[in-house]
Amino acid sequence: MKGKTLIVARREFTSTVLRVGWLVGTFGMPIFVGLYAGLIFFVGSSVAKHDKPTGKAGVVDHAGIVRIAPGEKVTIGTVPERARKAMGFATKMAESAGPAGEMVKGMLVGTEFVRFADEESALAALSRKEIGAVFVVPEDYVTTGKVTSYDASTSLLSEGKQSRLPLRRLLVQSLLHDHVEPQFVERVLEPADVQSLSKDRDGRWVERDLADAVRRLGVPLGFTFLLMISILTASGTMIQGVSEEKENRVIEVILSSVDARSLLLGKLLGLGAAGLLQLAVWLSMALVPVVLLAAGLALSPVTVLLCLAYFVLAFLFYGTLITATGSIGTNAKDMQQYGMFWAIACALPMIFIEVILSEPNGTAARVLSYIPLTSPVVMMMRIGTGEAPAWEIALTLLILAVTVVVTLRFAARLFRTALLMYGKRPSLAEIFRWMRQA
Amino acid sequence: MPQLLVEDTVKAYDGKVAVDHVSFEVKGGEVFGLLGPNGAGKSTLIRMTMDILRPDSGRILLDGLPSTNANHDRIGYLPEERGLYRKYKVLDVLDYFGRLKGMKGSDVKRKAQAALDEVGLGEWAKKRVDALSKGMQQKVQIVGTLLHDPDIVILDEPFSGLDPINSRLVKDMIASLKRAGKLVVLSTHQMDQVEELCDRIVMIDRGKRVLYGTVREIKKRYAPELRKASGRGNVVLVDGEGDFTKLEGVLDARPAGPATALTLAPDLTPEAFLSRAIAAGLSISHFEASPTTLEEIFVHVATVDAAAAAS
Repeated sequence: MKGKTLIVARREFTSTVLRVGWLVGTFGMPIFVGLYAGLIFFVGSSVAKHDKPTGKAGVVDHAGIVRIAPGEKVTIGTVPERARKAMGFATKMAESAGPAGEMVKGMLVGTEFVRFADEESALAALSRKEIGAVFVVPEDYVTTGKVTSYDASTSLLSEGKQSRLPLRRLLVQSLLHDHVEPQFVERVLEPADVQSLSKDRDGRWVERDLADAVRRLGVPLGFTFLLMISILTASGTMIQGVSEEKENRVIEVILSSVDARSLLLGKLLGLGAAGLLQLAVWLSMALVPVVLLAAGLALSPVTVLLCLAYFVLAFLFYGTLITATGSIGTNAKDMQQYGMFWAIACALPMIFIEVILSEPNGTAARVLSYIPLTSPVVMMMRIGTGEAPAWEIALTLLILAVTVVVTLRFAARLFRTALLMYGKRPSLAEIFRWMRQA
Repeated sequence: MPQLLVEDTVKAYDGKVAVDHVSFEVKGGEVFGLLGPNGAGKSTLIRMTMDILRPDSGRILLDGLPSTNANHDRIGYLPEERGLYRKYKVLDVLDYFGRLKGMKGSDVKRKAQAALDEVGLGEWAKKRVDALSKGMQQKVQIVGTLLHDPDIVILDEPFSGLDPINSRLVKDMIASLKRAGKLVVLSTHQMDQVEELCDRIVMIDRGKRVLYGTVREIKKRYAPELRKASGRGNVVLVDGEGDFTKLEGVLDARPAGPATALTLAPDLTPEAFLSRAIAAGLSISHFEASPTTLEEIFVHVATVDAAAAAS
């Protein structure tokens, strides 16, 4: 019977990958994304050409309250130590993004404010592109709080808009200068630099490194995302194929040649392989950003392998459920609707993401890990946090594997009976009877 | 030679009995008719033979062994509901069907092409299925059924949708399968085809076996009952000179083509009528004892059965 599973798998694979829709999706998607990125790059660089960042903004102070230290750069805020690493990574990414990234970099570096006596001289400097923006502080500023901004560009990333946060800091510093002590000024600007502690596996209070958590979670979250995409696309293809076979009545011939379980498994394997090939094509065509990301993300081979194991089991489990329930429908539309139910169930654990990340070994996370429906996504997240015990990983993989075998068995019975019923919607009692029938 | 044994088989869906203690036996080298009105349980029986469904009780044995998945490759099945992948090329569909039946290697397509040539569809091999007419698709389906050279062939209404020329083609094919010692099960409503092709038949009605045996035996057995049921005797066709209606024992006469159909009294056999006519000096150019047809028996049994079920 194994041979027939392979024959079905091979046919499903070839007929899927030769479909126009699949080819367009597989090769068109990276091209589309590439074109899109190119467009952004083009727009970014054309903006940058017209509006080369000067890093400077002019201030015309009619109110006589602004205090400017010549040559000092005012940033958007003090960066906390633990975020600096992440910022460094962001700056690196921004640099590689070309001229558009320059703007982001400029934002991180800060703005130098230059004083002008009147609007005319300031605007003249603006048109000579010595400065990127002009701010006019009127006489009645203290009562009204109004400031006028002259911006060289209308772009969303213009220097005028970029300099607004630094201007706020400059004005707060100036307003408070003669009234409060300098260290209070800093505290008004940054009232709380929070260090967050939580209990680890051994019950000690430790600081959670946000940047590190984000890097370690990259792989599991990536797999969760891929899992949902794969399940949704494969189940769509699967249900389309099965409903065609049912509507065409080919299924009668097929079931007289191969048993329902081999047929179901063969279809899942074939479509799964087509899905993996699609992923491989996407990844290889998008090689550059992947290498960049890999440098930033902590890519542990163990994590990747474990996630891959959960991914494959989850794909088979959900694929089986979606196909079996989908086969009850009398036409493709019905089938899609029944199948959709499971796709939503697969995404369910995302609701608990906060609970799982804050307490990877808490009761909720553990319970969800042992329920096959939520196990794959929850376990991938827990593995990402680096705190899932090895025995739980082994046990949940085993539970999932056993569930796949059992589900396949019952699903095959349902699939076989459902496929031979034409145009009749079964009752729930009938469905259970079909699953019991040998 | 293959042998199929259905032994006291029962299958119920949702408490409704579809097949009710049915037994019969089929051997290689014979064409066996599986008859019955719509919904009688024929499809269920066929599906159980192929292990698509399992009986609730009783056994189905192939060559003395329970029918399992392993037998799939030995069986060629032409379902009543025809089905092909409409968007694929004819040859690719046949290749897939052949491989699912255990054919291997590169010669699957070669054999499929040869089989298509044989039924006159050689040039259509590379065309998409939906470019073919209904009759051509029907032939492709039959090619697919026989491609892997099965020893057991189950044909469900093989003549539906075929013109007389293609019907002849299928009849010749059934005859050659029989000669090759294959076991052929033919399920059909067309009684004239059954009389022409089948050696033995089983008739199922409301899940129960109501007729079983050779066509000749069944006719012989049911002729008197049918006569009794109609309250009349034999019917003979005669053509000749003279007034046949005047003869003793002739109850009724009506024209039937160039001849006349005469209904005889219940106790008068066709042979007795013939000698009486000769004795009376009538000249006879054509005489035919019009026998009971399988169709009459089929209708009779189905109606009697329905009446019994109703009461």
